[in-house]
Amino acid sequence: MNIKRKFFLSAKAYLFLAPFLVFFILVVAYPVVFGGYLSFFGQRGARMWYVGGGNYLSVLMDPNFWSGFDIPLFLLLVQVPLMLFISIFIALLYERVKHSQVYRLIFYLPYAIPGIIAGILWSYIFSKSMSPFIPILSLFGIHNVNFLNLSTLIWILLIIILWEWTGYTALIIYSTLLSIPREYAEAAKIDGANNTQIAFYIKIPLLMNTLLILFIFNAIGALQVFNEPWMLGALVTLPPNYTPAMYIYNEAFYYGDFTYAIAMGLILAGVIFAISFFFLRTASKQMQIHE
Amino acid sequence: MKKLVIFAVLVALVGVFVVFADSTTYPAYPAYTGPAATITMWAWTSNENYSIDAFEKVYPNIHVVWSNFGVDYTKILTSTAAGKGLPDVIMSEYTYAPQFIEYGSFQPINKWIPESLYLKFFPEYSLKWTSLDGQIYGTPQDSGAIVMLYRKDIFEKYGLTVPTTWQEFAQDAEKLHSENPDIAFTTIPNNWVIWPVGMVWQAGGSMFDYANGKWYVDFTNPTAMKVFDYWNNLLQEGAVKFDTWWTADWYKEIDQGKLAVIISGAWSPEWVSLNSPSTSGKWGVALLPQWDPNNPHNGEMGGSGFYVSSQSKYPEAAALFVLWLNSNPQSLEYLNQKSQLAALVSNVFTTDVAPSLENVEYPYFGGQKIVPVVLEANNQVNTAFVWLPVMDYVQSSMQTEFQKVIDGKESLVDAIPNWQKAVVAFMKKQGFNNLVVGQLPK
Repeated sequence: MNIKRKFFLSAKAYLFLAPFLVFFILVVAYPVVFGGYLSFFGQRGARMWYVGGGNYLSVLMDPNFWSGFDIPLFLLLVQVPLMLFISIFIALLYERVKHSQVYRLIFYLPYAIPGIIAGILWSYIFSKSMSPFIPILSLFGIHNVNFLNLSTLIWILLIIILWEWTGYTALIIYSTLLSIPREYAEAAKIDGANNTQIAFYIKIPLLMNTLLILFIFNAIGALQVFNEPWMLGALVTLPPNYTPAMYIYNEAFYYGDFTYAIAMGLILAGVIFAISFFFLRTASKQMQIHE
Repeated sequence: MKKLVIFAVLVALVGVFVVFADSTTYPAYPAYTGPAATITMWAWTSNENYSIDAFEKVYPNIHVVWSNFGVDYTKILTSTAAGKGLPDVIMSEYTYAPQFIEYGSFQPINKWIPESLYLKFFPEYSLKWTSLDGQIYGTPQDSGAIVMLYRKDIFEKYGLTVPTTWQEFAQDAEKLHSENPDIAFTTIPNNWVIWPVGMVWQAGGSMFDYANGKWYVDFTNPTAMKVFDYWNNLLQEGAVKFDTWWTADWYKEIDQGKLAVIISGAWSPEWVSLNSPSTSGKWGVALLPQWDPNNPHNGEMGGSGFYVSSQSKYPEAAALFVLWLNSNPQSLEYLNQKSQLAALVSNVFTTDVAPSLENVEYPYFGGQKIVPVVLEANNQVNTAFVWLPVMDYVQSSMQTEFQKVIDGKESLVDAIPNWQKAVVAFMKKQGFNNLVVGQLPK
């Protein structure tokens, strides 16, 4: 190919990429770069002064920021594996059950509800005056239950996030299951394997790639969790650093320390990147060993 | 043509009459010496347009455009940090004004409203809410003088008397708790810092102040601890409890009659009538009980002022507007009648406007004439202090400490020094090296 033709082909490619690229640069790349620049300044209201790496040093030594990680870590280590386990189980059932499209739709619906609306709905379900559980509990003689307080909140978050994401995750796993050639299962059946053995020894290993991607995306979501605790914060007073994302928001918009919040945001992004990178590396090493 | 001239003369006469009619003891408003200007305002008081229309008749060269921004302090924050986007006039609660002064959101207007002129229209203590270091930034609008809303039917049913001392209040609370533990005599908000600070204020004290370039922080002084000890006792007896205010659960409690008393600002009669129409006719308004009936004090919970922003291109116009808005008798009448502000801080309100409102009967309060009560509550406010410039953090650290009290991990009395420690640490981290901890200015 001569240079002119190469150029013409590349230009076409960039033209198609252009809408996304423009949007990406304006809304993602530019704010990150400009924010990074601003993060080298201290700030109070209208005043800004140069501090170099001072903000980053403060963040690294800020106990409020790091203690907020306990909630995302709980979600990462408990909610994500639990959800993947349940979703695999449900996806395998989708294969076996008649009219599975009805169930797929029903379980998918919570994902279609925006997180903020879900937060409001669930705060009513667990409110101490309007919860539908109240008449049921009073039948057993239990009155004045305060579902939503700081210690129960983590479990309620678990329930809400499982409710929101399991159907969606099951659907993705199901579509991967569909791509597994039927011959594998048939051959195993001929060899005398039952369904559980087929599931464990054939299907799940072939799902590993999908599961890894799902795990990483959910881990990123868990570390950035904001919507659900924020909405529940309307009924339970939460400390400003309940999760790192909430702390970043509060530092910026309640205390007006935008530049400190930017530094925290970039460090949070760094932490998430490091964790994702670690998982991808370990997992791909595992893949290589298996093959 | 002749008719037009007569009409114009009549309008001018009315205009002059409006300006000078009730200001027999008050100075004339300064004239506007600047160019024709359009100024913008962010405020959440309803129906300000009546006052604005009257103002524009008197100052025809100034046009005011008003937008309701809710109580969106974040918007003020971000516009201040960005260096643009602020209007000419900003409404802010007194509690948060020092924060915005410190941020650089407001500009001083002493040039057009010197302290001598300010003090003709507004009480001296209100300078603590609208100025810092002798620089005046705005004028105060409504009073947040604390009043007590109580359910007359619950009081009657359980034989409770309207308390006039805190001792009687405690007795009422204990009596109700023993007769019907399902109804809370009153609840303490765990998410509204203005309340505990207001209660210390009502006892004649304060928890912080500003003087001579220094911020004073003292949460554990004797007056404050007297108040916290009192509420600690009631909490431990179970006669009162903590609650999260302004939530759907709380409004439900009010509707269902699970709350006998609400202690809040002078705006709360209006607020409760809007938020709990189903309990109309059952509430009464009373003065707060006193620690020493011979030496009455009151504090404030809420109330807002109007300040001139640092980005305003027409500060003279904005200054004249905020002066007129919050002190002209016609404007004050509109603010009371159309914007439903029960009590206004300006001296003009007490002398010229309030007397005509004393006989209005309020059906929501069973026909009670509440204006004299609210006015008396306002008149009992005889001290003030400057709020800390970090009230958002004072509130969030309070929430964290009070949550520990609710969870039974510490008593209210033990929480206060921890709270102060957190606030002092935060202020130091924000670069305030002019702190005096453990005492208040003489």
